[in-house]
Amino acid sequence: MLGSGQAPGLRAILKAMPQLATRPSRALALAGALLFAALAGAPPTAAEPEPRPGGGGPRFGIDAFVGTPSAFGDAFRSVFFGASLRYIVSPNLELSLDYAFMDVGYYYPEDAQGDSWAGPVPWSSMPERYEGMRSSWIFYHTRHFLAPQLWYLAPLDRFELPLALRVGAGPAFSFLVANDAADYYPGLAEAYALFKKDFEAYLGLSLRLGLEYRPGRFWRLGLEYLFIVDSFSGLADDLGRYGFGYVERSGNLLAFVGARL
Amino acid sequence: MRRARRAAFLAASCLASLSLGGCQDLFNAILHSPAPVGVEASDGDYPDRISVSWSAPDLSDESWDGAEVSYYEVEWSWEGGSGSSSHLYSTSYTISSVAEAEEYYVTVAAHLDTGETGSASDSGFAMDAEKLVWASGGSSYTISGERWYETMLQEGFSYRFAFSATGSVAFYPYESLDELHSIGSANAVTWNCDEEGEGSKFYLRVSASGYPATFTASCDYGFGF
Repeated sequence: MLGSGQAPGLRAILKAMPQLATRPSRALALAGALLFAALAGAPPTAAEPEPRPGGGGPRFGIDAFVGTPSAFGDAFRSVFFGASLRYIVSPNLELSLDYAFMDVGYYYPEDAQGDSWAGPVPWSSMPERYEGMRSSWIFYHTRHFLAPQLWYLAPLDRFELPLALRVGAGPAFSFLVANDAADYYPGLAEAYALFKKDFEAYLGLSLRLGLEYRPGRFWRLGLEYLFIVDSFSGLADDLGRYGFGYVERSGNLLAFVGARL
Repeated sequence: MRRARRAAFLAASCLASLSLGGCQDLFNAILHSPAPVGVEASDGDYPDRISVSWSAPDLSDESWDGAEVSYYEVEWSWEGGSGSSSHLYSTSYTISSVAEAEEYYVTVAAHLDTGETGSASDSGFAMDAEKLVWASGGSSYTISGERWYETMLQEGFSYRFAFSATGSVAFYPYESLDELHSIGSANAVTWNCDEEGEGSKFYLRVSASGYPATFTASCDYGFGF
């Protein structure tokens, strides 16, 4: 468990952010942050000045993350995984290229003639007759997310906290990759084309807001929200309409662990 | 003793590599053979030719003492004969006008300016396969004698071929000529696919009596015929 070296850092986190525990969802986010901090098992480096890239500090980084497709309601139903390659411009500025494998959408024939196909659906919604065939199923597409991001980081050293706020923004691309089976099954090709017509290659804006815990110079752990929006005016409209509820309605919660080199 | 250790290491490495081509390269490297590295012959990529590529042998070891490759030579053989190239100075070659779906055994030899030679091999084939689709209600095809097709099959689904007279069908993994299964000769043949193939892709060799013959290919989509 926590040694004496860790306790002051965690106490400082709790002391500095009591207001975060006022709503259940935010309390969950805080609990997650604390869990990461506890699992890190390394002494905090709140007083350690952030090394500058020119002074031999880390220049590159990689984050591995796991996220929910939407906010807490789906947290344990479906997750996606991804990675972020990062270039550290300065202690406050980073560039990243983020990729996530979002999900697999399955299609299935609805009759014995192959006239009509349904999908995409998650495997849990497939008819019982196809039970046990998931590993060899060839009728599917995969959905991917790609986002180059610009990040601003605000270390909380001055509060003697081993934490930093991180805010990111950039374009977001979501795209589908279909299995080759559509070339050989015309019914599937029709169903896939119908879905793709509505989906197209989605282009939007990715906005990120998170908190990272810095258990050491080369490690990062944390949580963040990812919002995919069509435009800033759309975001403003939604924020006006839903208020803080927008966070839980449209935010994807991500937990990440990162290394800095 | 040293020789035995090298042989043991070689055997273990071959098992670990699980790749014949990789194993051959490793074998040549350990034996200090000046063989070309990564010899690859195309597997069904072209309808009437086989493309062969390789990399220069590793002559960095001091035992080669500055030796260089003078030229390469490609030799091939198949059931119906054999052939060879002239002296080559690049690391690729195309064997043209090859028979479809016939396995060719290809050997690439590197000739050094010291007079030494090393060689490595691979096999390849040409394939002119038509795409076979599984349309609603079945897809009809006309053939004369024999025809190769490529398609994707779902494991657990049944696939039926109904011939105008009689016929047979043989199934192969994609980019391979190792037969998985064959059925026929009958008026209609059905295969309950129990193989995943290579990415669920397969070659099908369909043979039919009658000239010209027709057949209809249909799928049960997991509902049963």
